[in-house]
Amino acid sequence: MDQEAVANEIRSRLAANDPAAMEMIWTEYASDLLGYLAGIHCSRSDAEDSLQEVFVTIARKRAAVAGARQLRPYLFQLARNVALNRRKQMKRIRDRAEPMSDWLVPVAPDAPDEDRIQTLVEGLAELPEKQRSVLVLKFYRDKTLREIGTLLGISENTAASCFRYGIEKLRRMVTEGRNEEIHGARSTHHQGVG
Amino acid sequence: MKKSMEQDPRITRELGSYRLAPPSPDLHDRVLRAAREAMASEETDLHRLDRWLQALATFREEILTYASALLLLMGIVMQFGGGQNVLADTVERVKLMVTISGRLHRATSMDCTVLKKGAGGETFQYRLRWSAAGVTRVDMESPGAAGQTLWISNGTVSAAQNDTGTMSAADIDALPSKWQLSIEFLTPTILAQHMEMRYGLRQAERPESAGTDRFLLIGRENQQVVEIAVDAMNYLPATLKKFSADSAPMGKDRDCLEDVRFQWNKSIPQELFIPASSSKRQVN
Repeated sequence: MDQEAVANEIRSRLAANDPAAMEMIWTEYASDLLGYLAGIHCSRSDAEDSLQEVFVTIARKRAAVAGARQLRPYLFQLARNVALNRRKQMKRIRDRAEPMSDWLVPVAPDAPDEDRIQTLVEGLAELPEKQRSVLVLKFYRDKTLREIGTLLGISENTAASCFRYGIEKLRRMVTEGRNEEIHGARSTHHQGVG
Repeated sequence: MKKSMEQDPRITRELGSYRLAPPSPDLHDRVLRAAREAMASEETDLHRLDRWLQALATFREEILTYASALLLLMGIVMQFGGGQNVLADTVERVKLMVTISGRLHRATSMDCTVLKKGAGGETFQYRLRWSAAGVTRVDMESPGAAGQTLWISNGTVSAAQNDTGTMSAADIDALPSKWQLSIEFLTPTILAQHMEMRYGLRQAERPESAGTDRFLLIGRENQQVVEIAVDAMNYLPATLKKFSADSAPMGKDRDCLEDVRFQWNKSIPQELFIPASSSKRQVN
């Protein structure tokens, strides 16, 4: 079954209040939604909590979801709204809204230049949300820029810009981080000599 | 710009050396169960709404009169009693407890050390380790007696005497009283239940007493004050302390009856959860 046929099947099951629709939505969209939410929250736990809230919202607003013209972008927009609401609520409770470090894991242990990669991953969490979402969907969900544009409701060109600026910022973070290390080492050296 | 383009493949490759963390094993069941419940409750609510609308049509005027009186009364109470704050505090408390409970239910391992004062002033110490496979291991040290190790799973307890290695088995309901104290925090789920139902917790207004990265929840159980410091980053309990309600409210003079320190989601060797395989070995 192609994507549109699956979306139509889900729509008709939602309209008929058939709980099997939720299982179909899970099979078809949950992995991408979870990846997207992890990118927004920079936290696996928060992403999972948001995903649960997304599914509960779908169940409650199933008539509206069934009427969506483009199901996949609709669900991504719904997920974004849920995630941003949740982030606001969590900020109120948490004193410090620092990113969690549990959302990305190394593919292989003991990768070379681990510090630099760690800086990159931390830098990813500091990017603006849209740029981070584009990078996460591109790198970790293997989406094309065209697909990402459709999912996030932006043009392919905007997605490409977000990608380019995101990479550029990461590159700067890594380079500046390294320069600071070098300058830090030099000033320590001078102080030592003096 | 040229330099950045040259470095892009490296950044691309380096980001590719990470991947998204895999979802929790129970995520599928948890999410779909919540969605199905939401679907079912929505239908029930619709039927209930129909019945209410019918009743409303019959007693419309009476209901409106009572509702107006009730709203007036609530307005007066909230005006003079700071009711909005109470309401907001309650909502915040519920949100917080739901978050903590969710994290506890998703824990993959729990390792806690418990120091507890007995009725005669003696101190019991035990270390409790739980794995998501469903087994809890308790290493107990009683004053003046040889240590014991318990393995608790599916309502049965296997016990080993650490000095002799003698094994015995019992039903959890028939546990001797000296072992009963070890099952208060048997699993994260039980701890979550205690936090939700038993302790009546509320967030303390002086989080500094718990440390900067923690916030403090205070409740009561029988004649004891329960204080739980929760890690502000992962929303899991870091320490749980019980004080005598009669002791000084703050400071070092407080009579601490129980002191529990938790560690979460760290790797614990699986052989520790196999009865007797390591009963004589104390693993840190």
